[in-house]
Amino acid sequence: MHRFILSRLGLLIALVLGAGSAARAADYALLVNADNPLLDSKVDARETVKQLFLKELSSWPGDEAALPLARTKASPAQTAFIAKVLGMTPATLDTHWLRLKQTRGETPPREVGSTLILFRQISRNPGAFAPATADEALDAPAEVAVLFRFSD
Amino acid sequence: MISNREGESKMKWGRQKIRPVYFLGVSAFALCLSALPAQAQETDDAERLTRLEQRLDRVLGLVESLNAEIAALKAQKSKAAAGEQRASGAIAETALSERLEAVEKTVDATRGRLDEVEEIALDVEERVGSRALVRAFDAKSLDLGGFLHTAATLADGRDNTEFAINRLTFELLAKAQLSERWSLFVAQAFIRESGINYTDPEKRFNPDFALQSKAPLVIATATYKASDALTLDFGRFITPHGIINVEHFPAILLDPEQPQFLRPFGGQTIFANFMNGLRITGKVFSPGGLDGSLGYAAYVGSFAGNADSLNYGGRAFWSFGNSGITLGANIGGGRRAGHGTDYVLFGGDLLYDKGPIVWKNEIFATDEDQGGNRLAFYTQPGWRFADRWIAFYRFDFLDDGTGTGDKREHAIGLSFKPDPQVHLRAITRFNHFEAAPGLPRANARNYQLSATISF
Repeated sequence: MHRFILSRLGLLIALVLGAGSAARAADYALLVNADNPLLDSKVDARETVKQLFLKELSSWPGDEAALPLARTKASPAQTAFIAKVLGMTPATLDTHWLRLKQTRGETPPREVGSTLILFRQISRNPGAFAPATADEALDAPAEVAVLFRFSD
Repeated sequence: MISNREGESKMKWGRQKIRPVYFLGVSAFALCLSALPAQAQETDDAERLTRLEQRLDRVLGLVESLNAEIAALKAQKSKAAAGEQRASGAIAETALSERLEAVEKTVDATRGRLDEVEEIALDVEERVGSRALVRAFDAKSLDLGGFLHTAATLADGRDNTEFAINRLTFELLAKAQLSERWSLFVAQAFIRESGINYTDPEKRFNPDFALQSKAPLVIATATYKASDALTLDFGRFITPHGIINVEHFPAILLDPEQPQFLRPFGGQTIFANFMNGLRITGKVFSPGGLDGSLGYAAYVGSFAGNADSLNYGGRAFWSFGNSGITLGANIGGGRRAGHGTDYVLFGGDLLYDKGPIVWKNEIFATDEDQGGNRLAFYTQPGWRFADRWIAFYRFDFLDDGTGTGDKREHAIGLSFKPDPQVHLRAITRFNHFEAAPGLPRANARNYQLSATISF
């Protein structure tokens, strides 16, 4: 009897945890201009975005100049982007920017807090991209598209 | 809800139904009245009257019921009319509330946007205020930065122990973006050293790394970026060999005293730290569909200490996808100082940087026309044991070909970044010098605290 209760309890916990993780899935999106060449490409979008955001590369495939945009440091979208797409910690990312600043004079991507301004920037610049929450992505205009989704 | 057309049809149906019944009633009443004299003549007046009264009662009853029916229909009609009126009023009210709701939404959205624009304006106002803005004479953008580096060292030598705040460097960095493809990058250092008070001509017991006060132009390059795969730098640049010489600046380095083969600053113990000339660099991501990045750097230029000879060299590296591993191969050569001092350089470097581990390794060997061949290598594992803390160790070997014996250095250090722009370190170094003709075997120790603050 105890075994039966324990097994049912375990199943319940698994279901609750499973439901929780399912609810958290695809919480964030990488927004790009609707004309972005990677939207119809089989190139590894995540790795390309990582290289472009870190300014190790400066152009999208097809030679469109990239314009990486960051979100404010403490924002959930930026935190998840650093961890899951860049595969870094805030400290290692700071060190990366320090290295680029001192050796090449490069600066980190501009931070954009307002989603309205973010949408305008991405709509206006074919090479622009930025992370956003899934809720923010829902309000995006037609000129802005989702390149891929990720969760924390 | 009843439409107007439905109401009218019902009324029409009511009228059609009432008219024949009413006509029938009135006709029957007239017929009865006209029949009265004839019957009075033939039958009993009383019976006749009784029948007539009965008939009249029935007719009157019929008339009354018709009146009631007419009244009911009238009431129904007026009720229907009132219903229609209420329905049309409700439609108008619904449309109005929908419009109001839409207007409220638009006002809310506009208010939200206005709030955001006000926040941005406030932020710009706080940053700029009434101060004058700096503008570049001719550039799309101008970025300024720099750092201050200082160190205090306690040197425990064979003959005595000395202490000095022996490093003070301020370096100014500036980058001007001239156009989409052209840019300018300058690093100007202002170095004020207070050397530790040792008298050691061979600089073996004196671990202050032979630095002096100076204001060198560290980097000054004009850059043309054709693409990510091809960038050209003209001017003075860091020689693109290995890992640490490329990183070069103390704000980035775990140990601001670079490995022995890169000392003294601006020298050419194995290869010159800086070159004046032309450098070509590039990077290709996922070439041929392979999982990784291929990069290269090639240069030709002169070392400041031997300006009339050209040196050449380059490095190619491959980064293995997301493994954190980068493997580099180096080759170079040239002339160190006048005829008969040619050399050829070979080297390799290996970087592992992933998760908590950052591990740097380099090895270089030269084939010299004059003096002994040279060999240098180090391995420097580091462990990120907390968010802003790194512990590291470095074993460093140098045979500089001068015949003064091999030099080994062990460095153990702790690096802490309380803020991304502040880098604090505590490092202990143990140096071992081999015996050489005229020079006995010797050891030295030093303990250093250093801070680098950048902006």
